[in-house]
This record gives sequence, structure tokens and C-alpha cells, in this order.
Amino acid sequence: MRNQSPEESSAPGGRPVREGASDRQGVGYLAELEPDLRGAAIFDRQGGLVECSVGAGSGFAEAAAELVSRVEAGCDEPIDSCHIASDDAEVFLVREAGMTLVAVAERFVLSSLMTYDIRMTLRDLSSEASLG
Amino acid sequence: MVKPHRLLADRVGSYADEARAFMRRRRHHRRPYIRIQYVGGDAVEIPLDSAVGAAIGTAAASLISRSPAPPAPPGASDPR
Repeated sequence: MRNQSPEESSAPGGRPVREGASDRQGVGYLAELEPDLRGAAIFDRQGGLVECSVGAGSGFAEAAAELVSRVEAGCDEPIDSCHIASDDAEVFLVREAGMTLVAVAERFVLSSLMTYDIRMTLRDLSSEASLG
Repeated sequence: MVKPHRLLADRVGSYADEARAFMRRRRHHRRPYIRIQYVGGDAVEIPLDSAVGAAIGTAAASLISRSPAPPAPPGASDPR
């Protein structure tokens, strides 16, 4: 589990950003691609937390895991993605390369672009994991 | 040749149509929804008033409340 290590710093807006070369992968990279991103968490195939952009004390990762389990419980078939729009924000749940990314973004974000960026992020992370 | 007043009326009418379509799209986009796409390619919209929709909506609201607030636009925090 990789979750807000000590070398992380906080960007304007309170969003933790990992420092160094690993910013090019995972939620740090997604935050670069999507300025409207408020928070994101990545889970592996078994449901374990891989990475989270929000600090552990906020309960964001736990809430994201709860959302994944409720979506799964409500569906008869395996899901590919889920998009939830509310009055305050939009939530994206995307599965790719055996991983699940849950992201919260501002309202009226371009959903197809967001989904594409999430898929690319997960593919990059998956290829990095398979290479080493 | 089209009479000038007819040209003006057409132009104003086309702008009004555009504005009406914009408002219709805006109303549509403002409506909360839950959409799920399955691995097989099918996509369904879960009604918000169903049991499944309510459970997912509650979990999503909890997640949103735990996400950091969006950064303020430049200059908005400076009262001077």
C-alpha cells in the first residue's frame, strides 16, 4: 500500500502531490492532466489501496472503497466504469488493467476526457508495475 | 432579394433558437444521474430513487464530502 509518504508536499488547494520522478505516474500524473480533479484513489485487483491523493486522516480512501463495493453489489455483471453526477461534483469509477481508480472532479468536467485520462493513468501504472 | 427586416427577424430568431437549445442542454446536464457501463459494452442509468441508486448516491455524497475543496480562483482570496 502506497499512501501519502513523508516526502509528499501539499499543493495549493490542499492537494497532496508526490515529489520526484514518480509524479509522472498515478494520481499525481492524473492531477496534472486534470486541473478539475479534487481527489483520487487507486485500488488493486484484490481491493487493496495502491495510492491516494488525499491524506489518510480524511477517510477519502475508505469512502472510495465503500463506493466501489456498493456499485459492485448493485450490479449483476462485471462493471467497466461508473459515472455519478451530483449537484456538487462528479465521481468517476473506472476499471482498467486490473485496477480501479475512483476520482472526484468538479461539476461539468468533460467526462469522456476524464475517463480517457484515468484509463491512460491506470495503463501507465500497470505497465510500470509489470516492468519492475 | 430578402427584405432587410426579414433578414433581421431571421437572424434574431436563429439566436433565440440557439439560446433555447443551450438552456435545454444546461438543464439536462444539471440533472444528477448514475450511469454504469458493463464490461460487455452495455450501459445503464440507475434511477436515483431506486434502492441501488440511493445506496450508490449516499456513498458518492460521502466521498465528495471527504474530497478537498477546489482551489479558489486566482485573486479571489486576496481581499485587497
